[in-house]
Amino acid sequence: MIRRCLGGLALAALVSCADETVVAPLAERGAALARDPNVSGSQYNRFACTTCHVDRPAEAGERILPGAPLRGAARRPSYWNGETTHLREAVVRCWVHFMRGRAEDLEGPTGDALGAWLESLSPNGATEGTAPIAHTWPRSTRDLGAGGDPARGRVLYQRACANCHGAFGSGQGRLGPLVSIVPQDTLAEHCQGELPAGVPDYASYARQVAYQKTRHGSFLGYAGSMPPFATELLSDEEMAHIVALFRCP
Amino acid sequence: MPRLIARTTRAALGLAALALAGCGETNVVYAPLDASPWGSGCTQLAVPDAGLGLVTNSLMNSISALDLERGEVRGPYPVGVTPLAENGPHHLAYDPGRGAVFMPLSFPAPALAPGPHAEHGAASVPGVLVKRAACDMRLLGRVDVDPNPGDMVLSPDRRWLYVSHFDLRRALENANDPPRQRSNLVIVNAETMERVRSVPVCVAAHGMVLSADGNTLFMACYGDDAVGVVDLRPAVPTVRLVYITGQPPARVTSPTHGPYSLGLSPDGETLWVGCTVSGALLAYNTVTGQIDQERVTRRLAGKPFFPEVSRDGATLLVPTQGRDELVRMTARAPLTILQRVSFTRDECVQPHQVARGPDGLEYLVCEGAYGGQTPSPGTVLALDPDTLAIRRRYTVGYYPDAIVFATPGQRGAP
Repeated sequence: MIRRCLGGLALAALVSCADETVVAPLAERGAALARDPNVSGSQYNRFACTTCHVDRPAEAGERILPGAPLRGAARRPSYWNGETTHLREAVVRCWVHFMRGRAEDLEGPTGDALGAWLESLSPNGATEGTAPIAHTWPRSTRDLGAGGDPARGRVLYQRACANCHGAFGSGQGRLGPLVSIVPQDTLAEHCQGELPAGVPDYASYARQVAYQKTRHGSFLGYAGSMPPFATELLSDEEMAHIVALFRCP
Repeated sequence: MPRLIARTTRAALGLAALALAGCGETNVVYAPLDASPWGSGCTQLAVPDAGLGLVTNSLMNSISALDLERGEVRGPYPVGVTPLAENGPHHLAYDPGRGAVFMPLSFPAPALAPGPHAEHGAASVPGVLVKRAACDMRLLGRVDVDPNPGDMVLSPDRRWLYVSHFDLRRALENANDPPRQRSNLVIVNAETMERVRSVPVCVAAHGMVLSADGNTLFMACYGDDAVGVVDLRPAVPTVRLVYITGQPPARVTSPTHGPYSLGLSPDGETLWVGCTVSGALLAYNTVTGQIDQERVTRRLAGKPFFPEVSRDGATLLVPTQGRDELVRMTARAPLTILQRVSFTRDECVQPHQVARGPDGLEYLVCEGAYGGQTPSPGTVLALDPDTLAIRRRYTVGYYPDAIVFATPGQRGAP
């Protein structure tokens, strides 16, 4: 009798266990993946989708993020300043170039989940965020001169750069050990050695390199995984203050 | 007995505890989607009755579609794959069976260096051959090819893609190693987009034409001053160079003729070769395997680009640059100029290719101004085949380079 009761107790527990299965929208899985810096599977990646993107612009607060807000993104006619009209290709660009993933990895469940998440941010009939977003990345760069204000540069650094590079001068809180410490790492590399043709001195070189890297990120001949900052996000006037932080010793 | 009860109790309670512990971890199952979140994608290109022209805009990373019925331009549709860069789509092929468009992206070196950091100078960047759905230009496949892909053709059975490489940089960098100066013919499986073979052919190959049976590929070998004749039948294709002057040039980096563009007569017996260095237009006899010395002319005022031979093979149209004209001439010896048509700058700047449309009109692709000139968009002129009068003018993107046509009901045989 006692054994039957105890067996029934165990069985009841097991039966009630089956009731714990919850069916959730795939978008929830996508939202979790979008927050996960390990999502791409690359040991070199520290970016999550949410490192550079927010849902609505207000969520960025004071931060200046290189990625466009995602609310309405699935209904936009184009992405990457009109460079592609397909959402999947836009996502693949981030996935491959910044997150160091393989494009084919987005063809399976991970891609479906992320796609469902983006779709959930773009409800049918809603128009919020559906207009194409202008991001201009000038192909050529230049020396913005030495007239920038370092104090204003520090404020802009905190808003635009600290999100990944951590605290200015120490790198504390940066995304990972591969992320450069600003400005030391840049200056260590570009305040010595041979100057490229047409560059008058190291001071100009450091400014130009900082500008090129910020504008082009990892593209147009500059390696790494950094996303580019368009002129709509940081104007050349603001960039002049930022490059003022890059002063050779 | 009490011991047995105790053991049984412990076992049952343990089992229950285990079950409950397992239940503490909620098992979440994500609802499968009814359809792909990225959209299912279209399969068929909507083609008006009169046909559709697809034109590359090589300085805009895009193609434009010409509605030949309404006389309207659709697009541009972006086709690049590398962000921020000049992707440089030049030539293209349309496969109605797969509903796909193929095009090599060349990533030309930018006129202005992007910045002072090392490694700019994009000419050494590998090219990419892309396959896109013709109906919405979504990416279906891609494969890396060599730097500076030039022309590309699709085999008649639509199984293979052939890509030439106009790689002058390779010739310059290997001046002391002639075999390494030769560019590769890259062969790609059009279905899987796998690169199946790479065959060294000649220095800076550009224009290509396939014989109707798909067995022979003709190539304009710019640096070698030669016509390259590639036999595609063997497992490893073989290459024969027919030198225009009968012998190799003294220096492949500075050719005398610079053969660049090709056009094949409908009967397949005459290959027309346009040379951008000497300005010569000449005929290669595909039957004898020799340059036809009676059909060589240097009397064009400009440099000849991609020509079109009339259906009866009696005449050909040749766009020329330097003096921007379209020239009609006899195709039989002695080569005689029958008509010259020049254009205003609003109409056509730097004509590059002429091709017969499905509506019987001749379509002239004009690059527009770029480089040191004030940039202007390119144009495509629809010309009366008899008078060469302009019937329509389409304004497309910057530096259009090539046109292909789609017609309704077209079927392929992949």
